[in-house]
Amino acid sequence: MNPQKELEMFLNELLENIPPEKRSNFIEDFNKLSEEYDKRFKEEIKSEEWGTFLIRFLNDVLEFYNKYKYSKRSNN
Amino acid sequence: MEGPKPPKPKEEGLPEIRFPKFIEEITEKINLTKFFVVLTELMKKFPTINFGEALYKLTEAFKNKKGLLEEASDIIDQIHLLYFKFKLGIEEISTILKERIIKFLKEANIDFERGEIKPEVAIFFLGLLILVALVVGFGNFGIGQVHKLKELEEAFKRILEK
Repeated sequence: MNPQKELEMFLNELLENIPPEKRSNFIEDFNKLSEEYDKRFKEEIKSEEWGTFLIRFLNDVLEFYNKYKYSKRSNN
Repeated sequence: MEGPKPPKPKEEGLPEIRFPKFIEEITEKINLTKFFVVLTELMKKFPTINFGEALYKLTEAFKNKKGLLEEASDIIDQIHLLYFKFKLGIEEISTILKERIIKFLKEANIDFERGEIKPEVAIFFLGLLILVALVVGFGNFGIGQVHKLKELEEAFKRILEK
C-alpha cells in the first residue's frame, strides 16, 4: 500500500475520534496546513531535512487533532 | 497487527481532504511504508500520549545529538539481542534497560510516566524507535541497525498482538 493511502487511513482514524460536529473544522485546518507545508517544502527544505519536515507536519496535525478530540461536544 | 481500517466512503457534508503533495516527493527518497500504519497502531494503544510532540522531540534529538544517536543505536542493538537471541519478554527487557531508557528519554526531553518505566513504555519506546528509524534513520544509522528494522517491526507487531 502506498504512503498516500496509509495517510488517508491514518486521517480516517483521527476523524473517528473527533466529535462529528468538529470534523469539518478538523479537515479545514488540515487542508490549510497541507497547503502551507507544500508551499514551505518548495521554498525552504533541503533533501536531508525531509524526515524532520514530515515529523513537524505530523506534530502540527496532531496538535490540532488533540484540540478537537478533547473539545467539549456542543449541546445542539 | 490489524492495521488501520480501509478508507471509508466520505461522510456526507464533510469537505474534501487536500492531501499534501510534499508527501509524494518525500516518498521518492524516504521509505515511509508502514510508517502511518505503525503510528496509527501506537496511537490506538496509547491514546493519552501526545505522539506528535514525542516524535518531534525524538527526531530532533536523533538529528542533533551525536552521542544520543549512538546511545539509541546501542539500545536498539540491546533490545534486538534480548528479544531475538535471548527470547526475553518485553517486561524483562524493560527492567533490564530501565536506567538507560530513562536517561535517553531525559536527554530527548521526553518526560512522561514520571520516570516510571513500565512495560507499556518500553513498547512505546520500541515503536517510536522504529518510526524514527524509518523516517530519519537511513542516513544516520549504521548498516547493522538498518538491517534490523524489519525484524524490529516484526517484534513490534507481535507485541501489539498480545
